[in-house]
Amino acid sequence: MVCHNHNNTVIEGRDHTIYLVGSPNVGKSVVFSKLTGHHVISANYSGTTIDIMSGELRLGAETWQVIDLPGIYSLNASSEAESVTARALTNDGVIICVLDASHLSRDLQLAFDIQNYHKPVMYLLNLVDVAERQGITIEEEKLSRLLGAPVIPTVATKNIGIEEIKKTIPHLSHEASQKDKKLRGQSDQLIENIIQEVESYTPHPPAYLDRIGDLLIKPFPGLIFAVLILLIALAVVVGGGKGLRALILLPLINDWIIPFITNIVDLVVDQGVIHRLLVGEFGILVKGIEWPFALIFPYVLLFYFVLSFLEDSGYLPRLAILVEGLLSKIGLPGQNIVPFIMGYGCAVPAILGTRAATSYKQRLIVTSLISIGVPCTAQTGAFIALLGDQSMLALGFVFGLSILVVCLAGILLNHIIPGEKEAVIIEVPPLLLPDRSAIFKKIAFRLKHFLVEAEIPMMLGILLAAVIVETGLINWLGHALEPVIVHWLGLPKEASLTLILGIIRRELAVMPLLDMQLTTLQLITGAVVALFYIPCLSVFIVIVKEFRLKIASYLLIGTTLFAIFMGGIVYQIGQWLP
Amino acid sequence: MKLPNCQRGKNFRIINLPHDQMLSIFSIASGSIIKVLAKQPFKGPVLLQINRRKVAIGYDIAKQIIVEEVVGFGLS
Ligand SMILES: Nc1nc2c(ncn2[C@@H]2O[C@H](COP(=O)(O)OP(=O)(O)OP(=O)(O)O)[C@@H](O)[C@H]2O)c(=O)[nH]1
Ligand SMILES: [Mg+2]
Repeated sequence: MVCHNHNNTVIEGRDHTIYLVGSPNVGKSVVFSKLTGHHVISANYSGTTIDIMSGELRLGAETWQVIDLPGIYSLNASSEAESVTARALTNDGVIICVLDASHLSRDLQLAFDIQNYHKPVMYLLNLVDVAERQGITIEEEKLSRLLGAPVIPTVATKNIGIEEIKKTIPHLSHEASQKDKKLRGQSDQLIENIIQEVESYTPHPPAYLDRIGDLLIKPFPGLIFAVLILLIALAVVVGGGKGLRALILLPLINDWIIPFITNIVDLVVDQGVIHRLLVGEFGILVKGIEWPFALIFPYVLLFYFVLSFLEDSGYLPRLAILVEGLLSKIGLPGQNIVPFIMGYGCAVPAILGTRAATSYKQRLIVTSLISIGVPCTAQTGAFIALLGDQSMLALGFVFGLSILVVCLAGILLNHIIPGEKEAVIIEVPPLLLPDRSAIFKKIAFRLKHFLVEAEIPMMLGILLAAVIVETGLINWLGHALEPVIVHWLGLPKEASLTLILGIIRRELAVMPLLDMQLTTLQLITGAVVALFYIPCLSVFIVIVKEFRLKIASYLLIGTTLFAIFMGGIVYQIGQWLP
Repeated sequence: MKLPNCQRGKNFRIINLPHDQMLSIFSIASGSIIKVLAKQPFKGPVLLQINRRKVAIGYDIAKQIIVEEVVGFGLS
């Protein structure tokens, strides 16, 4: 056994770092979450982690800093993720290299390359359950001897092996002792020999999940399933959301919570400006509760439920492969499809997610398309609240228009933005039955994020609205914007408020229209403007960070003009229709 | 024969292929045996199996991969 006084002589916080390294999608982030208790997003496709995450692990009296790194196939620093990892590994610390038990031959090269960093290292043989399902068994003692370092079999999602990892970490203070002559060279032959030695494969009929996984990815019946799955997803989000809203949240909030708050405010505050700011037309205690919780929350909740399920099952990359042929024609090849789908949740992770494996051109296209015409869940919820009760057809029209514009914009951008077509190579992950507690954790994580991210700006937006209305600024604004709002878009003057609030958050470009008693045509016009209007403030900031201020400004100006242009066209045409 | 022209369900040996690091990571190299599992519509990716793993290769690279059919080789 190796003792750890080596550690004690080293300055605090230096030798106490653990790096989680491994191929994409082997379960590093799950291991990270289990070790640190600090939830990070994991999902069943490559490139989930795009940034370095760090958390703490307490082992006895010592605190270890655990670092979750983006998945890499090699250490050649040929992609952004690989250079991030290679750079991180130049610091001191120990390495936990996560291997995929069902794809050991792919991971062995990396397992050896990691030893060139001359750090204490241990290996996890993760996804043992999946390997077993496929008839693969690995003798970890033999592997451990060949690699010259501890090898721990794990099923990270089920907590199997996690305690063993914690027990082993303190004893890791020597670099791998693998000095065996016959292991020199690291050729393909060597890897093959090791596989021969440690892996046994019992061919057996594929497990039912593997069979379904294969069917889902063949054009037939895969495409039929794709349509079905999307319809079910839509039904769950739109139908379920309406149900939740109408049956539970609206009665609860409008009949109980808001009257309760209003009564208290009536008692405490005298009639006047303050009173109106709190519980008036745009009272933050009224709209600040009704809008986010009653109108938007149900859709966000259900969307993330569906998305988390699809993510963890491994369906998304399958869908991407099925439709790649079509989508590559609108500038969304291979690796960009999953982040693009995420854009229907929130644009921020979607734009960050394009970092994983794609070129500048592709990133720019995905970012532009999402900014121009992909509504986030919150805005979708607002659309449903605005249009869904009036006419489902109107709702369908707005979404149809969104898809049409995204396709046309994609084709156009694909032509005008210079850049190489990139190679599309997507590994198909195994189909997994998502773990219930993992899904709940993930939804909770995202909802918390949504509430923090959305509630404060929404409150501020509503406060701004209240101030604009109460101070009479609205009249001035309405007057100033009259040519656009009234003459071109056919909306009432007060609708100018949406253009101001829409800068803060996407759904705020929709919400003020709710109480304006608009005709169906006006509702559609307002929704179209909101749809194409500028992405919200946080998205703008992300675009500035990821690209440049110049690009962000182009998008800002472009989307604003385009939104007003499209809204006007819809209104002007709509007027002539019966 | 170019990879996208291959018949689904059959095994092929790779004769020539473009240089791409990702391909070699998935051990798709000259001489390796692959099975074509599916070809996606609209010039979509070719889905192939190599060893026990499934990889989708975009049409643009797939058409640069030259293969020959292998008969009687069991890659289930
Ligand atoms: N069945 C099973 N699933 C697992 C296991 N470990 C992880 N998973 C699942 O595998 C998927 C990938 O896990 P992640 O933790 O996101 O993988 P990662 O290595 O962080 O991936 P990148 O960040 O993309 O490099 C997730 O859907 C996990 O729930 C395991 O031992 N067994
Ligand atoms: Mg990860």
